[in-house]
Amino acid sequence: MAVNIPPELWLKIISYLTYEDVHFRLINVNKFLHRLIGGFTIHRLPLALWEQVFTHLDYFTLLNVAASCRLFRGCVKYSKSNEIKAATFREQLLLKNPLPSDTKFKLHPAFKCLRIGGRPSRALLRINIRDLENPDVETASLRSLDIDNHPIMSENITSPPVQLYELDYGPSKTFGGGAGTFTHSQPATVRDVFLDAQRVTDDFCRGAYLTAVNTEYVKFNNSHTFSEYVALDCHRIVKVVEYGAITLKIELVADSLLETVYNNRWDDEEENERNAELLLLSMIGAYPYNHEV
Amino acid sequence: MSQIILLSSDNVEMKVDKEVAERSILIKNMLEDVGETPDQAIPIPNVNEGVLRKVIEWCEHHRNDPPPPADEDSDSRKKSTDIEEWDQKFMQVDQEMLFEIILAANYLDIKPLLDVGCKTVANMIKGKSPEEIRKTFNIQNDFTPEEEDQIRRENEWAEE
Repeated sequence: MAVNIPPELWLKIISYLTYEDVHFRLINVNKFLHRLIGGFTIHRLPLALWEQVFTHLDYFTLLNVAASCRLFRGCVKYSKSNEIKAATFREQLLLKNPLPSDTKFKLHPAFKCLRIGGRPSRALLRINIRDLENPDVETASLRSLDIDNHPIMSENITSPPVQLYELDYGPSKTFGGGAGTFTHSQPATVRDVFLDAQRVTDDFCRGAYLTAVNTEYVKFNNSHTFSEYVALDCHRIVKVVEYGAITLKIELVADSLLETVYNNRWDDEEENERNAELLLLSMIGAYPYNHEV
Repeated sequence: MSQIILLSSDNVEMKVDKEVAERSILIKNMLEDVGETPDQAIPIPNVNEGVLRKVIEWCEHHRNDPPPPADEDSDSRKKSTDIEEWDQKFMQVDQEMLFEIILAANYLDIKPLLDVGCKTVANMIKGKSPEEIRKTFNIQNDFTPEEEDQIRRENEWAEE
């Protein structure tokens, strides 16, 4: 390590690096760089203290903070503070510690501002979780946002994050989960809801969709039967509905049951739907199950 | 009531009740390490007289407060407007003093004071555009025009 490079040259070099490289990698190289980088201040406050200030701000204010200068942008974007992660909908899913039943959820503000749509012109998006703030959002037309690259698309739909949500649209209803919900245990993101919304607003897609355990999409005619339990990897998600209150729990499932799923292939679409339904139900031991087909 | 002497960075001695000084976890730990009330002044090298007086004023007022909750995620921490009236008036100082108090609270490890300071700065940020934030804290806009344009496009949805 060329420690003899004078600080002003290091500062020049640092100006070409990303916030992540500087504050998570370069800073740990040696004492000299730790002191140099750790000494970055704005208005005499070190970044660690600015981060504490930012823990008291909401989503939209943090957007403006991140738009004011590079250091603030990096500080918000790469923050490891739980409060900032929660405010910016970037929390990890806690699979080992299910959320308590009285958990209060916040809905991503995108659903208050953005419009999703198709035919009919108004759709209703319902993120069906207990105590959710503003659970119903009327939607109208899909804006020209870049679903693949816009940063909000990778943000979680709620804080704390969840894997399952339900999307209402006219007479049909879909139950959704994040694209990686059943394979990677990722939280449901804004992108997931957008894609589901696009799918459900298509006249030819009036069913309910769940991400299948073997990463393929499986189409179901009757969504209600699946809303309570879904199995994935070595876990099963249990959605408990009691007296109108909904809670989600995640439990471990025996490996032998999962092998059955991975080894099955179906050609006939109707058979596929029925088998998938029965398989999911048997996997979770949900017989007898009161459902309509 | 036993008293201790604090020595500011500009060599000014201040007599303070031990109980008041112990609002600072740094001082409390130092006193615990020493084992008895020291006769000599305790140097506080990073805090000048003016700031130290303000910090002591805050500690005097809050001397009987219960210790802050250990739970870092408690809801009260997240509400930036949730500042006691006395604390709001206490924080009505110029920006330089406000930041000095935050730095001193951080150095002396007085979490509730640090929290009030951070909330006060957070309130100064709330409702401001990026340009207004820069102006408030005298921050240079170091984004390239292309980056600025991209950020503006990314945030467009939030402005409606």
